[in-house]
Amino acid sequence: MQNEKDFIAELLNPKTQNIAFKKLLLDNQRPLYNHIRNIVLNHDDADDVLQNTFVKVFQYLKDFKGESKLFSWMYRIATNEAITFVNQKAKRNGTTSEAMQTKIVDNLKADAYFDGNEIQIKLQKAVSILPEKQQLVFKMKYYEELKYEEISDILGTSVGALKASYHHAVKKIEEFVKYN
Amino acid sequence: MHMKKINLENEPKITSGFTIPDSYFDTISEKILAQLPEQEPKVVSILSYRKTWYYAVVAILILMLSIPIYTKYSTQKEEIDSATLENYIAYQSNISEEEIVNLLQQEDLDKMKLEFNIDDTAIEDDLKNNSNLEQYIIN
Repeated sequence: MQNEKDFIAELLNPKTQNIAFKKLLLDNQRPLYNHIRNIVLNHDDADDVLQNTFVKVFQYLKDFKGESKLFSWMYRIATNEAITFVNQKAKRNGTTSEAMQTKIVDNLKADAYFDGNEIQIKLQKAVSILPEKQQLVFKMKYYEELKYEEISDILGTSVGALKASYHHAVKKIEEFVKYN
Repeated sequence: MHMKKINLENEPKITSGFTIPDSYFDTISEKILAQLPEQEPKVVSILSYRKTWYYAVVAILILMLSIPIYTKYSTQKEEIDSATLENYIAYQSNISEEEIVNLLQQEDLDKMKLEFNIDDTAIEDDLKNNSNLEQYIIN
């Protein structure tokens, strides 16, 4: 595997930048898309946010300090972009982001780019009523299968706190599914 | 209605159910690459170097040319012509005669002697024409 420091140097060198950035894009577009999609829920919005995310990654590369992994840093930008997008969209529509997300989840069946069964819809609904941070942790751990250490690096939360968050989320989801 | 209980830890993984349009990932990277902002070119053309130098020289010339004008106007403002100064001292100042005397140096006194240059005959003439002066001298 290529040394990350060397790869970052290639990303910053104008001569190698284009090729290196294309590699960064191809290697990370799928996981970042999935992460964004899990937050914004529909494909068109995820598409917008993914594009904005990579443009920002490109713009901010020169400020990347290498304190965290490139992967975590990009996830952090994607998370911020997605959450900001959801909040702004809710504001434009004169509603709260929670109400908007609930509405989207209620209409998932009609979404051309969703083919989940009853259980999948139920899980989406259960997740959508969790507090924002628990939602994020649950999506990253369960749907995206990231390690606690990785989530910790991305969100700047301790592994212990993340485990507690995930545990609470799972309990609430199981309760919700039982009674609904 | 019976709803199946789910156990997230044990059951086969429940995926999100989201799908993606066909060939989305084949086209999105090109779309993103196309909208990246142009990087500042590292090699600056000679023309723009020349331009920069040209502007710098013009700016320095303007600054240099404006120095005499600036000093002319700014010193004019500060200079008070002697007539104004005399008038001010004569009518506005609170300086007592005593203070003026104290400020006068021997040099000033010598100068004044030369300037006034009063000879004895002139004093005598004055005394003749002005009888009151005798009174002053006596007192």
